[in-house]
Amino acid sequence: MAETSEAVFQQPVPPAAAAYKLAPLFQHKDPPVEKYAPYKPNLDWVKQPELWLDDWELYRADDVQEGKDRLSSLPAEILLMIISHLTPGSLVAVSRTSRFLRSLTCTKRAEPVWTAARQRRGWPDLEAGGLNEVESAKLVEGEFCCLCGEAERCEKGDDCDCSDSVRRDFRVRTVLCSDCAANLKPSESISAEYWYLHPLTFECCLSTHTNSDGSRIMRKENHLYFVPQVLKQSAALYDAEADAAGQDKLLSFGSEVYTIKRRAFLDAVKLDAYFLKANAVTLRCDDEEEEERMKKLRVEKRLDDKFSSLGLGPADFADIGKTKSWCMACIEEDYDADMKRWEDEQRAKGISEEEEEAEAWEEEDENTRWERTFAEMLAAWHGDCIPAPCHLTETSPFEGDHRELWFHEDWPHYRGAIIEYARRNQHKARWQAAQDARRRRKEEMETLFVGLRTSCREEHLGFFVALSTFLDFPEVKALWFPDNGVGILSRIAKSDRLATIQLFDRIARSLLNDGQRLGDFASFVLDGEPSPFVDSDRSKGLAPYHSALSDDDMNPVFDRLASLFRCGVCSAKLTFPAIAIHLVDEHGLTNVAAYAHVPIPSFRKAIKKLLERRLLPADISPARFKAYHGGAHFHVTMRTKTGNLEMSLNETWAQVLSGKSLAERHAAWHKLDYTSTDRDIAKIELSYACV
Amino acid sequence: MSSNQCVTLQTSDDEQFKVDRDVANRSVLIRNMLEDVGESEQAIPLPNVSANVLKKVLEWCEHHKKDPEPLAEDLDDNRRKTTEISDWDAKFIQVDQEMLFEIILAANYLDIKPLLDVGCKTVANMIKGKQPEEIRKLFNIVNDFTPEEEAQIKKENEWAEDR
Repeated sequence: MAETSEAVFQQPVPPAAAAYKLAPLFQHKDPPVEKYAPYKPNLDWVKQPELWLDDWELYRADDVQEGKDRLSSLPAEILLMIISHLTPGSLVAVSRTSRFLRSLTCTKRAEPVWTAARQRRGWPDLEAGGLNEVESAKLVEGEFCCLCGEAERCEKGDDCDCSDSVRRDFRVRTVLCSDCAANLKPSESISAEYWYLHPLTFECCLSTHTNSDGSRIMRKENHLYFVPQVLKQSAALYDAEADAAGQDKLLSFGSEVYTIKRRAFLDAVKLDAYFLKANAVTLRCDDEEEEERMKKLRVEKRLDDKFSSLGLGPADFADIGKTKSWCMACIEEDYDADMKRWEDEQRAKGISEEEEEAEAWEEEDENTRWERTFAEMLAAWHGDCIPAPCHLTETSPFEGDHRELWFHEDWPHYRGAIIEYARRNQHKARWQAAQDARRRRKEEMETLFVGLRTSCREEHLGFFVALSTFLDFPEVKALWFPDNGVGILSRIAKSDRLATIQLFDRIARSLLNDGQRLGDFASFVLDGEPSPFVDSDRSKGLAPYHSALSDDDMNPVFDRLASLFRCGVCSAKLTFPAIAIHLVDEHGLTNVAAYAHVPIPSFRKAIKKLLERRLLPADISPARFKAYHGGAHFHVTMRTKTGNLEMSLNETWAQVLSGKSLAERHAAWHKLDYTSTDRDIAKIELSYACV
Repeated sequence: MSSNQCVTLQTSDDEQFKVDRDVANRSVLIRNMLEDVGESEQAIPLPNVSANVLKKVLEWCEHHKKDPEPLAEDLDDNRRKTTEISDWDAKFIQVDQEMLFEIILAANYLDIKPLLDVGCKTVANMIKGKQPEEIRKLFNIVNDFTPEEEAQIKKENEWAEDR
């Protein structure tokens, strides 16, 4: 029995206590670190790069403009300034364009311009002399044949390597087109053609040892002479002999004297030719270098314009040569090989891991499993890829500035990939900037959290949430997401404006009742609409006239001594916006419209009478009133609950505007009269004793 | 007047630009006007410059606001390549021909010598290496030579005895 009774009265074993389920608030874990949001490439750029750029466009150095002649219509001083920057060759060309430009360049007055142009280009003064500045310019840089006067351009176009289409030879001082260059011949050939030449002719003529193809003629007897000059010198020799005969001297005397004089000139020309040729070589290098630089700058400018039209800047191309993420598989979307390799690697990782997951895998169907594996592989191996054509699998062509790539022969093939590269960089940079901004805001929130925690009572500290939880509260999270900043600010601004209009409506109506005047539009709004809200229903939004109220309409009304609001908590009287600040700071109340009331009529009447007695305007501002009576004291007559009148002497203006004091409230509590903190003020008088 | 004060410039199409005094001082015309007028809030009228041109000119002034004043000997510098323009300027001046001439005229009016130089050098570079016919086509210049004059010009080019 005992056993039985024991069995009967045995305390039932309580079931194992279920784990106490915490509210989700306390189960919060740190939010996972946000990973780089994957970038989605635009394959159109890569597969059809011609969408973006026409290469021919980049070669156009100068835009030919339709319309009037802007150059000739420039003021003369500017035109002369432009001309002063021209090269001797350009001066020759410009002088042959129009009458006006010829008159500007081919006058005696313009000679210094030609001299300056020649010197600027490094062409020396000619020792041999005999040429004026214009002739000198034609020799050194002119593009016109000195026999036929025509210019000759290479017809092979830009691909041709020839730097000069006319044949320029400083040793014979000629500039010849290809046809007229036939007039450069060896002495033997000229002698055969012109049997009557003076025997000393070739000793008086300039000769060159350079062939038309630029090769050097080694043998002196094969040097080339300019036929017209040969004929002229032969004639000059015969002329000298004729002069000698006229002076009763030997014929040979005349020709020998002429030859000696002529030899000095030939030596000077040879010396000049040496320096001229040296300068020509230097200039050619300089010009080519400059042309290359300008071409590069043109390309850079056009590329910059193109890239900036896509919203891409130089920073987006940083480290272009260092990436290893150009990927052919991504452009062809062919991941079969990678998938196979990925699965092999996963399998090789170890059986134990696989066993753990096997159970879960069995539940997955084949397709789901494949998709999951594929996604894992893509994230691991192709998460940061830039789709690119096959020849971009190597990084070597991308070392250096992206703009240099334009000069690469494969540019049309890989420019799309480069755009994609820059877009991805931009995406990354923006994402990083957003993350940094959020982190900074989060850190700032920590200060707020510490402040709240400090103000918390000690016995409640145990329940205080963790910082990470606090930061994740929806209202707090909105603050550290900078993207929401604009939304938050606009919401605050909207709610502020709503409260302002409500308070305006409230105080303006009371002022109208008290017989004060308002602005025209303000009066019109109050007459037209009985409430600040449509149909007096807050949910329907602001009434149209009220919503049109501006600060200019409302501020003059708020800025009156008569526009005092009563604090719904302590009955202090303040104007707007001081009342809003008071409610937030003193009482922690943000709903201003709910706690800012119009004072009772007797108080408003007392204020009105005070102003009348002091001969002050009814719409005097608080600041002006304070300037008159800020330091004064007042006698305040109040009506008690029983209807008797009591007078409080020598109150400051701040005291006049305050509600009941703590002592009064305490006394009222004993009398069960604690319903209001306001004083029923009937009269306010200036205390003359204290003025 | 302190150097970082703003100056308001009013263009021919009544658009106003507020710029730092440092920037505006690149123009000798504006600098002289400011010295004459003294402290004033009034906009400086620039009746010969339109807004889009002034915008470009101010872009140049902004970039070159810290450039030192050119020395007298630099102005007479007979360097070989006076047509050389800095990289930034070369990119800046890559505009259509209409705008290029407008910039030159504005630089002349506003008395901004370095910008005027850049403009003139750019036009000179456009002419460089071109034949008369190409220059005519580039600037729409009408060939008003008579055939006789053309023949005369060719003749002038002929080989002379002393060559």
